Amino acid sequence: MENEKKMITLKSSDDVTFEVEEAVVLESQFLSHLVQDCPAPEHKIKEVTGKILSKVVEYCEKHVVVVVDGGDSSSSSGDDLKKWDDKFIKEMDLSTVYDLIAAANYLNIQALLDLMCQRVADVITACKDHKEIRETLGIVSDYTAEEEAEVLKENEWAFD
Amino acid sequence: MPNIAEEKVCEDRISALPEDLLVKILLLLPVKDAVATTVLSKPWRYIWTLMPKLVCKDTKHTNNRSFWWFLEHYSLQLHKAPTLLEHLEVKLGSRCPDDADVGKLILNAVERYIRVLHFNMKWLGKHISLPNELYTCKTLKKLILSNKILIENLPEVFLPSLTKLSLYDVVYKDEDSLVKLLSGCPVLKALSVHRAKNDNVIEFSVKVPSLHRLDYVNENQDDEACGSGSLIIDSPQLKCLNVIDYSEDVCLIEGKIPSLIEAIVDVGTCHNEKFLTCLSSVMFLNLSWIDETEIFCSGVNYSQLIECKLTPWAEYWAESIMLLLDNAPKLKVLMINTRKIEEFDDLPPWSWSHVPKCMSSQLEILEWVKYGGTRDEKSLLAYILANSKCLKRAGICMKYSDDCSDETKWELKQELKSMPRASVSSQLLFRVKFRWRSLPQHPLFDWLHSLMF
Repeated sequence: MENEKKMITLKSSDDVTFEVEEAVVLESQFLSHLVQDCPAPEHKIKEVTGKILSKVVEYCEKHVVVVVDGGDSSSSSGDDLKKWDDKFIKEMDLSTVYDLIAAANYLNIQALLDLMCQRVADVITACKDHKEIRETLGIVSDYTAEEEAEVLKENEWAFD
Repeated sequence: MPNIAEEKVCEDRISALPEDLLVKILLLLPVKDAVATTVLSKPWRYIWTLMPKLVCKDTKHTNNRSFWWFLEHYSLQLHKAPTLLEHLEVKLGSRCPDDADVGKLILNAVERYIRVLHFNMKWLGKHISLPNELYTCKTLKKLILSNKILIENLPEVFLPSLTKLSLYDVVYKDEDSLVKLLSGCPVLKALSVHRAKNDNVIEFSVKVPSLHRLDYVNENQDDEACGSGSLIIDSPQLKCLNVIDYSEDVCLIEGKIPSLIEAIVDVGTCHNEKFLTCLSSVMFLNLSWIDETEIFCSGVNYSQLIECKLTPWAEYWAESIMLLLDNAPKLKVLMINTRKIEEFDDLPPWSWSHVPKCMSSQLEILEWVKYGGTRDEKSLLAYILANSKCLKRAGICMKYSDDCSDETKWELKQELKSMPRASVSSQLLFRVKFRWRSLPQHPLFDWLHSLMF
């Protein structure tokens, strides 16, 4: 018979609960320490909303399964995971990306943080110039026309 | 409920992220894109200067003086950003103004606790010397200096963290400058040198007690000083030695290097028998044969040798290989490249009285590149096949003359196939596939690999 897996409940700031296997929780450095130090069955995460926590759980569940399956480290599981990651970020609006960056940073989930930062970097790289970056990311320039001209000149190399 | 998510996209939430996360994002961008974020808004102006790693290279496409302007501006910004700069890689090209104050940039990097510095001066200006502070930098772990750099007037050099040093085509004021630099690196593990023409050093002395790996290349064949200089190695902890020297300089090893594991040697001349004697502990030996070498080989006992790659180039080459095999009882892999071998049929054919020990009990793989079918090649190959009892695979890659017909090619292959083999289970293949050092890995390999540049 299969060993019963230890389950842990995570509760978001807005009291949405998620029941997950302990292995999923271990993907987060922050939560692993929390679970080790305080072996309660339920943990409240005040800094993360239910909407974002559901994404975090979805990501960690996917990644933990593959690691377990990939005992023989077949390359296809790595490729599948990459495809899954691509789909995971493609469907996401930037607002959720920022929330996930903050959550992954707080929960210390390095791979998720890297993935989300990469998404932002890809958005920036896809823009043709700084005006488009401002538009896409909603940044309002507070430079005067003269200041902007000066900054552009100083860093002309980067704008070649 | 209104669709809040969509509206939020236009809100500037990225600027509200902590600085360290913004830096993390910038590090994922191409350098120019990362620097270009400076113009987005005032809060973004200096974020990129906080990046702990900056790689910028002046390319052919770089416009006018703009690259140097940028670097000059950057070195000013460095003062405003008192954070760590772990890694700085700068290549200045031919368009860089020759009055550029490169020292200031390096000085700033040192002040920001630089760990990895790669400085490549490919400009049209004179050779420059670097600020003294660089040579007493406590944090520097890896230093690569390339091209128009002059090592001169050194202070009391002290680089207590430096483990990797590369000197590519730099010049020295004199031999003392080189000695002074190396003697100030107490934990140096890996040194890589590519000698420049007329670099003011006749005797290139590598006296570094901590050194584990030395890569040394001197390709200056038409140098004025050609043949009058020397490479002197006095580094008893060396594990890996790679010397390519076509200058006819003398290569000398002072003292012993008892734990040497790998040696790759391709030298134009080798006046010192001791040089080869010092290689006797190697497990991996890659030797490009030279005139006198065979004489020395007979005296050296390669008791640990398991892989050997030979590119012979001498009249008595086949006998030399036999001499070496006779002194390498543990040899498992033999690779021979006869691209330099021609027919020497005016010499008496070689002969051998007894079968070397490695053939009767160890040799598993023979790889032969550019097999041309000369008399000596034929007889050596036949001898190895007829006497190697443990042989698993012989891979032979043929060298045909330009006018060789398909029929002749077929005949040559048939001739090889008909050679008797002591190991009946061995394969004869007409291709080579063995890679250098691909036998089951020795525990030290990962560690050796970590010393690579």
